[in-house]
Amino acid sequence: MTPLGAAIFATWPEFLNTLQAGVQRRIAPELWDWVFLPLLEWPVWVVPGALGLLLLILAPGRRR
Amino acid sequence: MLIKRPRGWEIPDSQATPEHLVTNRRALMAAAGAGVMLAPTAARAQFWRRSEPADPWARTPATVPDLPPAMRNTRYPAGRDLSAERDAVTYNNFYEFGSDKGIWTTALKMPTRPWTVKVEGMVESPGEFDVDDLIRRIGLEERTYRLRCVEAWGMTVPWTGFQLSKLLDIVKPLGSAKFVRFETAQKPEVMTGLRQSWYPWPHIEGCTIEEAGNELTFMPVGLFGKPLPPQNGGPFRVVFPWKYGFKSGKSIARITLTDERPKSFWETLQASEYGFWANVNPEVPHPRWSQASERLIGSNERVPTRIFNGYGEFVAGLYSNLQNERLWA
Repeated sequence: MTPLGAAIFATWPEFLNTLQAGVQRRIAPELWDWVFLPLLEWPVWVVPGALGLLLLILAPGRRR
Repeated sequence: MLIKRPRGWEIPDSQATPEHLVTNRRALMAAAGAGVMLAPTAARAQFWRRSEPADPWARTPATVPDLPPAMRNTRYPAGRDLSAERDAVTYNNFYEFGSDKGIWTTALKMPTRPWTVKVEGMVESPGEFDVDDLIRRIGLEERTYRLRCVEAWGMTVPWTGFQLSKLLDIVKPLGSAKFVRFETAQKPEVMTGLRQSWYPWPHIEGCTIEEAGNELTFMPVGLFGKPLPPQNGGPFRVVFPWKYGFKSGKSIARITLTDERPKSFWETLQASEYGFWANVNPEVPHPRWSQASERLIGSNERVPTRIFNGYGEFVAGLYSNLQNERLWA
């Protein structure tokens, strides 16, 4: 399965390096290793999946 | 008399799910989803936590030997004060360990012995060499070089090592060899950056055979008279003092002589900013900043940058017939 990071890199090669430098140099180095990197390692389908879950959560409840 | 027999689907009110749990089921789903997503992060957080060693010179393993004595070569005067030792070993770029300047805390976990380097490709005598054997066989000298990073900062440090040409004399390049490719070791157990599988690992750098044979091209195994620590590219790296620092490959595991121009790691990522030649030139700005001056780490003094980082008398001739190349990026 293609990781999310690979899909981003294929689309926009400079983006992740710039983002990583910004996160590690201006916020906290660990934030990249602990939060961003695990998310980027997720399969690319997680993005539409997460959006779908979000919509499900936000959607108004069905009438009973 | 009315006898009520409950049917199978009837349950007492006391067993019904409380209303607030039913109405908040979406929040429960969200919490469960977040838990699933963040669990691996939390687990890795412990694994990758950066524990700060007290000593940036700490050796891994602790038995890494001292360097043998090295003669100081004064042919290349730096013309400015040495950087502080502490700055040199705690302010580093080594992308396999991260993007921030404090990667030394993680890099120190990389064992630097035993360490071998393969030299292969278009050579008469390819081989795999133990670094300590090379040190004994070739001998060491100390050279103080100015270091100019593409990020517009600089240092001045004393390297201990040997000229690359002396290693090439051992393996004897064939006439067909036009380029030299330097490959950084891959140690996924300590190099967190290698988890970014979408990048073109291993880290590759390269130069022409003429640049490799230049007297300035140096293979350090030490810094400030001590074994080269991993955050500085230990135990074995290359240094081209007239080029931007990213061209000087670190922790080298393989050197290949070839007739094809190597495409470097950074060239693959951002060719517009990091090219093959990357010779220092204050007149050619980086796409995002000026290269006219550099900040000296430690003093924070800003000094003018010099063409070829001030080493033009030794290397300018290498490029006299290459004016159509993108020599300055």
